[in-house]
Amino acid sequence: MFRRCVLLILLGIQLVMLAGCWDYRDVNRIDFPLAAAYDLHEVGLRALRDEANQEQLIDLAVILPNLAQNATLKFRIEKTTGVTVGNARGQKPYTSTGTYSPGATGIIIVGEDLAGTGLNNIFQALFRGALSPSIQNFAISEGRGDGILEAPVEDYLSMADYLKGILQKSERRGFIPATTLHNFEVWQGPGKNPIMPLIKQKNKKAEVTGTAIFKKDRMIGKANLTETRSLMLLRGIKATGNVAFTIKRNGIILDRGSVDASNKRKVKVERNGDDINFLIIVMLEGNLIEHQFGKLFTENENLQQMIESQIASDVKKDCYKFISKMQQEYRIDCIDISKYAVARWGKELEDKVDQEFIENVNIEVEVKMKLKNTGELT
Amino acid sequence: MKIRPRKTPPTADARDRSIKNIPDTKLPVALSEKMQLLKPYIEKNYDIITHSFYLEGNPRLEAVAVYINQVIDIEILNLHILKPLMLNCDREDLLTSGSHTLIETIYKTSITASRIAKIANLSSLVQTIFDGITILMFDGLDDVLAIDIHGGKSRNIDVPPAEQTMRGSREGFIERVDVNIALIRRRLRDPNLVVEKTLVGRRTRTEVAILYIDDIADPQIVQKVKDRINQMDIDGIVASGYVEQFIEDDPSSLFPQVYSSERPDKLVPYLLEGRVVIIVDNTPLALAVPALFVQFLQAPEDYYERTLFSSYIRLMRYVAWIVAVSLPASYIALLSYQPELLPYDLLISFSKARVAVPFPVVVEALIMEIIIQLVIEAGLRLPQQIGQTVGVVSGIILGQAAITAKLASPIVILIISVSVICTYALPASSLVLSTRIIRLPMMMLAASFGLFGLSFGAIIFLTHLVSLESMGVPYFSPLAPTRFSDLKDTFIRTFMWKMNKRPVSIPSHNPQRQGNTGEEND
Repeated sequence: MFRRCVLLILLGIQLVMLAGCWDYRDVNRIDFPLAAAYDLHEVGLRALRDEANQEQLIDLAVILPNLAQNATLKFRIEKTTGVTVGNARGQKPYTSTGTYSPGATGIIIVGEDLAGTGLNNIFQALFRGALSPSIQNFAISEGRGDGILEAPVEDYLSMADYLKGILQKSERRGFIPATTLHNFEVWQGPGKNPIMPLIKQKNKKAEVTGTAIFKKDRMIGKANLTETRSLMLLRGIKATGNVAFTIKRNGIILDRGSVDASNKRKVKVERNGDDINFLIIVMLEGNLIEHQFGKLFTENENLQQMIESQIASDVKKDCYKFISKMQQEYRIDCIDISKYAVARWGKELEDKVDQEFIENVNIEVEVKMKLKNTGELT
Repeated sequence: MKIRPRKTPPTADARDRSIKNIPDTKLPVALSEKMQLLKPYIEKNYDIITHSFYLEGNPRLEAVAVYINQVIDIEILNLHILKPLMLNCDREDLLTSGSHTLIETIYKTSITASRIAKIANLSSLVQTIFDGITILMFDGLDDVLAIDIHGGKSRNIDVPPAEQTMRGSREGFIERVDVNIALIRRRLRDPNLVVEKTLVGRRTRTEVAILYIDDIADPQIVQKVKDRINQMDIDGIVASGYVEQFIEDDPSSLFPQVYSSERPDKLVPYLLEGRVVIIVDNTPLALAVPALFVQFLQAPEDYYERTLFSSYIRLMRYVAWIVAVSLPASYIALLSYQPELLPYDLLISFSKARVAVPFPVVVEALIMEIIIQLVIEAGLRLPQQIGQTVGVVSGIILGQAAITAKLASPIVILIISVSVICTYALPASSLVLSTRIIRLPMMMLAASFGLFGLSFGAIIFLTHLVSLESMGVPYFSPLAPTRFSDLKDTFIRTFMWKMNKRPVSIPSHNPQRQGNTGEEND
């Protein structure tokens, strides 16, 4: 009995040390941000801060739901400014009544100006603390991030809901990369570089316009939608999206249509002295959605093969264009192939792989397309 | 684990203790003297009837029947005892036989009722009358006859209200121990089924029957049950719950260690598994020991329905138990300490629902929990029709009123209602009571320490469950200690033809239950 009492007391003490009623937070007194936008401080935009050197400040804008039943607006946007992200959060008590819980934020938009300065130091506050269990999806905005949050939305509760729909698991709906806080961290390993979806406010509406290319934590370039598709295919991010085709012979259009295709990739790497050759095999598989000339596949046995070849050829051409841009303009490996070379010749390449490596390798691409279903009994 | 110190077996049985104030006088021959001796014990009791009559013949033999009104079957008394004695008794023949054999001649030739005994002393006579046995006293004979014609009005065998099944028997135990034993006997015609009876209670002298199958039940367990029942030194018992509390291993535990049921078809399989069944007179609930925790989550339908459906429903009951114990506590912990663990949309929905409520989550949950528990209690005490009305009224009106009065949010009403529904999805009423209580400390731990508190509570309860015993048998078996062969009838119920062995969790000295192999015979 004595031992049991001692054990219970010890367990009780341990429990009190771990948690206690002093940690109690009333859920309706907590501000759970739906989305947050981080931007370089726009001088003169806010009057809240009194620091002399306003150029180094960061603006934080968050969408917070209005919990009150009779509230006219379903949500509100609160903006604060600080020396760092954490410091900007720390200004919340001056303007807001609730306890701020940044861990609940599902969407984080970063202005391209801020992204260009490197995000690791700025995002320290997101990595620390145990209150960030949610999946946080990142996107880079062309222009300021808070502008995106402020854009009017009619069919959604707030812009945050719209962005959540656009960005979360986006690769299942199209060739759009989905970048989480986890991805952003992992993709900064040797020979790796992160990418993030790029969004822009167009005609008072936010839409995905491409991909932001990063060199480690610093944004260095942008890819448009076509390039983004090539990037996704080459990078081997499994996605499902629509690919259009036009079959031409002697200047005459024989058929035109589109397929819903999913992708896989295989990478082979060989070395011949100092020359490193990569072969990326992109495998596309999908169903025919439409083809405009309505010719039956039973009447033209070669039609399926023609479509497959055309798509493979188009995709391959786009891939080579992107590889060329990557090697000449970005000069970093944003298709995530260096890791294969590092895996084989690790010690030798480990230090070089992030410095003038990708621009000096030979990359070949092979695209295979397979139409699983044409919608006809062939 | 033995928490409560047990006494050594008593030197005298309950019968001796209860009649020690009555002198052990030998009964006199004259009827008037017998009545004179008996008078002080029965004169103040208007329910004790003394009926004088004469046996047929010349000279007529004076006799008195003594019985308790409404306790005996008056029709049997009239038709099978009084009528033959008064009208058909051959007095001449009786007189020719000596007084020693006269009484035997009377009951062997003239009384058609069975279960007759002779009594020769006052103490036994008095006690026998109060046991509800009919007494026949004759003038000139020192012995008296005690005839057991218990009867009177009692409840008919009916559907057990708290344990109804779709496919099982509609018969439930009633308040008569003999009828209840018969209900078991009708289902278990094994000559090895032993029915032992003992009396418990100095004053109530309640019959307690101990049933077991001689060649299956573990003798040590049987002996332990008998010893614990015999050690009971109590004025009286009026329900099997008294016996349960005296024989359980750990009376301070929240978990029931004795299984109770009012279904004979539930207890017969337990007897076949080597358990001991205890039936107490005046109680429609019989007890079965040793009890295992998993047993309280099993229902007779599990064996009446086909395997897949039974297994699914059984798994649902485990889920129901976990939900019943931990759902309100999880709600409190998550909303008070770790809200970020909830999906965002759900979190906002919870926050919005709570905006109007001025209390912390735990107070809100406790208010609703207490209201619901009181409604349940009120429903149990009220007549069935009114009870149902109270349930509906409280469910709809009180819930709505609580939301309007800002005492609770709709979510907490949902949470508490779901936990109550899950509680009553459990098939054993004793586990239902435990679950209702366990929920409260879990809620308090969650309110004080969040998910850590919830985990702490779960560990404490699991440790306690593992340490419990029922009649010396590990209570949490077959989970801990793990009896792999018994797991086929724990979370799921395997095919009947595969259950060839009796559960090893219950000690028995005949492990083979059946010989099916599942293969077709040529």
